[in-house]
Amino acid sequence: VKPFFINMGLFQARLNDYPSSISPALNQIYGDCQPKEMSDFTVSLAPGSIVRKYLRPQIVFESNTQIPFKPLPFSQAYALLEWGLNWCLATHDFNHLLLHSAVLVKNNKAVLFPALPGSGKSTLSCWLAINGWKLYSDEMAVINTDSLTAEPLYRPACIKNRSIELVRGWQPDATITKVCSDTAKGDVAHAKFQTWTEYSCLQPVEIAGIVFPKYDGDLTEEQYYTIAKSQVFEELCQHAFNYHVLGYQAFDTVWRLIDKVKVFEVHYSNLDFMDEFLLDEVVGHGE
Amino acid sequence: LKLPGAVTSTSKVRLKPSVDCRFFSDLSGCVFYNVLNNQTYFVHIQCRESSLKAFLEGGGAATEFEKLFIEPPETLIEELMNKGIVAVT
Repeated sequence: VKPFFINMGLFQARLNDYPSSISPALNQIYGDCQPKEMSDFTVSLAPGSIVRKYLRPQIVFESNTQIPFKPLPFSQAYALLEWGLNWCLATHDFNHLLLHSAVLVKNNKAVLFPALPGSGKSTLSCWLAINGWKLYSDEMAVINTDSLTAEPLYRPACIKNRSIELVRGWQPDATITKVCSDTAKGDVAHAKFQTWTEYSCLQPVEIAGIVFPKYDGDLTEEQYYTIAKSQVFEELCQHAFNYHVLGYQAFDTVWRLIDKVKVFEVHYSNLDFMDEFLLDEVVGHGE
Repeated sequence: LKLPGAVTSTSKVRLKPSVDCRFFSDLSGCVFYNVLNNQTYFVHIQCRESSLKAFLEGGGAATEFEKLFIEPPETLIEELMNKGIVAVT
């Protein structure tokens, strides 16, 4: 198979071996990216064994001879690739602070959404991306430890279960990969909201706020409140992929970040409210 | 009788040289980082003012240190001492 180059912006992976079944998804998501001369990671997706090639086929993600995950059913190959790329970034980039968080940008200011699975983070990210915000990252905030700016990544959003149909309904022509069913996270698909050309124009931006979103469909009235910054510090340490590796640099970065930005927890059921809230309270309405 | 390391009304408390201390502008608490063991320690107790770091670096009376917090637990200094964050003399 001819190698496929996945340019994620800050990093590039060279995908050496992969099943032809994921070619449509690869082309949908990364087909327009401009490959760099050098790749940071060499990865592959290959059958687990000769037997597993034919009997209940499985697929294995490998990166530079490391196999971080157990084999998954062959039908989940593309989802495994995206999770594998997350692993590559989280375990190899020690030049940035990496937080498990979505990053959305408007009016040249970024908002971080660190959240636990099930909080509606990805659905909110997609909705904002469809409604005029720039999706810098759905999964991982890449933060410059000197300037405290958020860097953009050319990665899709991972949408799950009911959110897949919601996103299709919000944007019928959205670029969404074929659904991988019955994964550990349920049904999973990946959605892209910008082209490589649009991505290339993005710049690192100042972080204006950290918002912990909590979706509650039964809520009759939206609620938001500021959170104690010491509490946010502890939360962010738990959401940081490389806090323990960066050591004192991470401690200093997280503290400087938290002490300069606004921090909120928002319980919402209405997505329009979130847009208004973020504009009013965090990033401002711009010029 | 004063046991070694016990906190009394005359104790002096001081930040250890390997530890950095930061407090938050909303006075919601403070965090300590020990470069010797890469451990972060959180104190989620409201502070009264921002002079905590200067106080700890310079060293001062344990009773004055406790007054920098709003309703600190009686064991606060002992906890900080046991975590290797402050020295008590």
